[in-house]
Amino acid sequence: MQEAPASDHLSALSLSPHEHAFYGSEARIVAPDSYEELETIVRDAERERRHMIPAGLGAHAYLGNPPPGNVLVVSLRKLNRILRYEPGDFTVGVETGLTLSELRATLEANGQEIPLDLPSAARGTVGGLVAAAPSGLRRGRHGPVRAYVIGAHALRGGATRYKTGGMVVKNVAGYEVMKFLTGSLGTAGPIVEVNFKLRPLPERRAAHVAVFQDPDAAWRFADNLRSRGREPAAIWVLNDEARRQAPRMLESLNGDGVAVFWLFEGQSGRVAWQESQAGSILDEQAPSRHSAVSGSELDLLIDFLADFDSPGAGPRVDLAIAKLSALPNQIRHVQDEAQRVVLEAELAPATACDVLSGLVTLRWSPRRDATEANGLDRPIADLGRTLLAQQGTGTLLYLPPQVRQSHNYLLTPDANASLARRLLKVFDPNSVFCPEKLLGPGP
Amino acid sequence: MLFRRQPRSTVTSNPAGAGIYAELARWIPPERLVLDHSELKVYECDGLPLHKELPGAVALCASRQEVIAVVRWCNEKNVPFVPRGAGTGLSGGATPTARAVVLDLNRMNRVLHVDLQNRYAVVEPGVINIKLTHEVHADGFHYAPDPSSQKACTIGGNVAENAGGPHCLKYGMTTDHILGLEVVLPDGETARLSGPLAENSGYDLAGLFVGTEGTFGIVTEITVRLVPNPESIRTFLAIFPRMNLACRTVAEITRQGILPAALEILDQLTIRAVEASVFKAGYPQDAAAVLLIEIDGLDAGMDEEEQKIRQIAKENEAIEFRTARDETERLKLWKGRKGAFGAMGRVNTDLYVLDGVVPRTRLENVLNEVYEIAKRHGVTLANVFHAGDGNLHPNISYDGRDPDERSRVLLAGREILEACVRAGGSISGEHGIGLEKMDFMPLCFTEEDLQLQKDLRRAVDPRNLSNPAKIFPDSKSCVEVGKRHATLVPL
Repeated sequence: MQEAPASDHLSALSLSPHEHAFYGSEARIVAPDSYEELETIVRDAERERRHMIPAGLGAHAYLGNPPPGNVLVVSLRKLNRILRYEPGDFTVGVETGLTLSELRATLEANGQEIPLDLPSAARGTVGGLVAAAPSGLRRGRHGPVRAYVIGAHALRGGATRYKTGGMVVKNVAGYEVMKFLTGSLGTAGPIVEVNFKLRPLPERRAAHVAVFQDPDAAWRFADNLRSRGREPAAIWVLNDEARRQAPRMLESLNGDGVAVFWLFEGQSGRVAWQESQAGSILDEQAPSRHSAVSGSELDLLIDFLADFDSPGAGPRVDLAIAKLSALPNQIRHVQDEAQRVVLEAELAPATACDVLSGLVTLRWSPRRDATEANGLDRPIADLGRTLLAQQGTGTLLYLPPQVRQSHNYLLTPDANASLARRLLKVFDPNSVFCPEKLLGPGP
Repeated sequence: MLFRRQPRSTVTSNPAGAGIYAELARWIPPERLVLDHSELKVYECDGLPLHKELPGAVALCASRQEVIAVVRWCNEKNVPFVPRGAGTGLSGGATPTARAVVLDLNRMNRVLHVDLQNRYAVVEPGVINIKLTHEVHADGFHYAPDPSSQKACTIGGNVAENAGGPHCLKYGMTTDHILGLEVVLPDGETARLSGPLAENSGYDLAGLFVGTEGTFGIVTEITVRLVPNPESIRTFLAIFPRMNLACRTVAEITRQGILPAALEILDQLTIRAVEASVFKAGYPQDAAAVLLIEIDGLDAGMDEEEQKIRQIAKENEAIEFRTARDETERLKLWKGRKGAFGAMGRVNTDLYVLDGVVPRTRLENVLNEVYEIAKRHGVTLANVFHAGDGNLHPNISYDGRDPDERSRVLLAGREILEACVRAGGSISGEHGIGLEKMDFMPLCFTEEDLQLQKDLRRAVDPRNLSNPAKIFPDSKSCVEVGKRHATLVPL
């Protein structure tokens, strides 16, 4: 086990840029080599009442409410083995310090995947994936992260190691504790191993992008594709500002207007048939551009969409990202409202909408000054009101470090916070795992 | 679980009499409050007649308000309570503990809201599983989880047990179809956990709640995902001279990346029992095993998928490969599979159904071990199982009046579950732990693992009133795994 000062960015054990920015200069980092070392760290932290945050490579440190100062970042990056993998079982058990890119490469070599198209895939670890539970590009078709976690080994207060679930795809022995851990932002303690169920890689993928000058036509097409398009793997609508933020080499997104991206995947015959059907639906709306996307351009486009929820590798002082959840048939209305609140602050909203899931990602660039007109406070308050009116939910995925403390991570209150806190106490009786990260300050 | 064709009466009593339970009439009308000893006997067990206990009272609840009132009364009087749906559970989850009040939820059976645009429905817990599908089928949707008891079991019960079914191979378990829950917690407070949105604020409490077998409180409203009906369904029957060839066919189908809707195997003893019963499906009685395969989805590409599966079966020496030519033939093939447990009643008076699950690649080896265990203990064992996801259902037929045979059955059952766990599997794929398998939990979990779960339970139900004495073994039985079965079931 080694401990490094926060300023030591060049060391293999330095804080990530996000950790440094969001956890403060007093933060320290340790990276245990073994479960036993991890247990010692947890035990010591509890004894000293020192706050600690489980981490991987720090790719998701911007998520959640900021922890108290002097936090200890416990990086599990050295616990990074693939422990159990029999491709024929379509399951894999790994340590959570394993990078997502390594896991993905191993699975792809065997024609398998976890169909999540993860943001920051190249930077993050398995533990970050489970703790942050981001929405994948194909969530509408394949479900959320929690649908793929079939078991876990983790530590709770008292440095007690425990297992939940198992290595089989069907299992009802005991409580599904991994459901509570998934998306917990590490507040239930370090997760050291995770078992996933896997899917075969699709035989074929077919992706298309159409750009519409008329936003109504774009939304009509997306809605028709959702209702008549049979089994699309993804349908996304990008407003003009979002489309402009795409890398220039994504030629399919060139032009002016609203872009719709759609994807079919699976058995070749079915994909071809669906492409043809979608073509007929598209013809009804007359896009200004339409192109099939494949190869490296498709990879780039998927990365762009998957990373739309993320600020990238390092913190930015000029970016805010909110994730809004609505019923799929209300998604356009919620998107329009989200655009409106940002436009009212005289800023440019970029939105990417996962039409199948009813999820809207909103990005905008607040001003750097700290005045009331900074383009943060008012839009955030309005977003919260809009979501409550629409019975939607939302989170502030990213805010610049200097203002993160001023706004709660959850845009809409968690009605079950009291019950959640009771359960959380089971994992963290001494409140050292930074429970405020997800729920905000306690009562 | 143990099936009994003709359950015999067990000595039970209700020492409390109507007593304090009559107070429940303040909230539950007399015609829906069961206090009479003979009527209470109906509720002394669920689909697991091995364990029986007479409840103190049964409240036939018709609304959330009544559930809340009964739960609050139980808190006030320190009386345990047990939720119950159709009572089709196979692990004793709805079997009452002594003095408990059973909350029968069958009258809470309304489909409250259907939103086809957003593909979800809100139902009360007493809605029968298949009825929800009937409600939305004409509009092009269905509710995917389909336990064998789907014509009788309730969605509330499915939530409690995280029920499975043949088609969960492709569509997932109950938990994958639950979007939100309204629950009455053990202290009588209500909570809404998640809902129809993709993302909800905070922790995934609904996900944690599913499968807690009534120990976290009582579900009073359920938001479920509706799945579009497949455009096309094809059902095949592949017939094999040896069981291992059927298993290898399953392994190869999944290895090639094909995801059928269902992959079900029946062995020879099961086939013969089915063919001699009212569930007769036309299975060949000289086959060592039949594999029921169903694929569904878009019509495009179906021929190609069928051809691949046909080829895999041929390469694994299938004697014959039948295709259901129409819906009538398809339903007939399924009738044999779904009626298999019932048909086993022909073999002997009693039936012990196990629910172990193993990794797919270990299926063949574990099956061999299962047959060896049966042979070693001299018990009659048949297998009918969800082969695609490794969920075995070894059925041991026996005469429960023979104490020696009964003892051998229980020993064989324990060894089979041990074999499943040794192979990297679990003691239950879909039936739940309940009373039946609580003593086997230490096979899967350490004391620390179990303690965490008990602590979670205590955080939700500090007074241990909500379906107590389920899932977790007591400290003594941790040491003597399985002894409960051998000692607590006198005839």
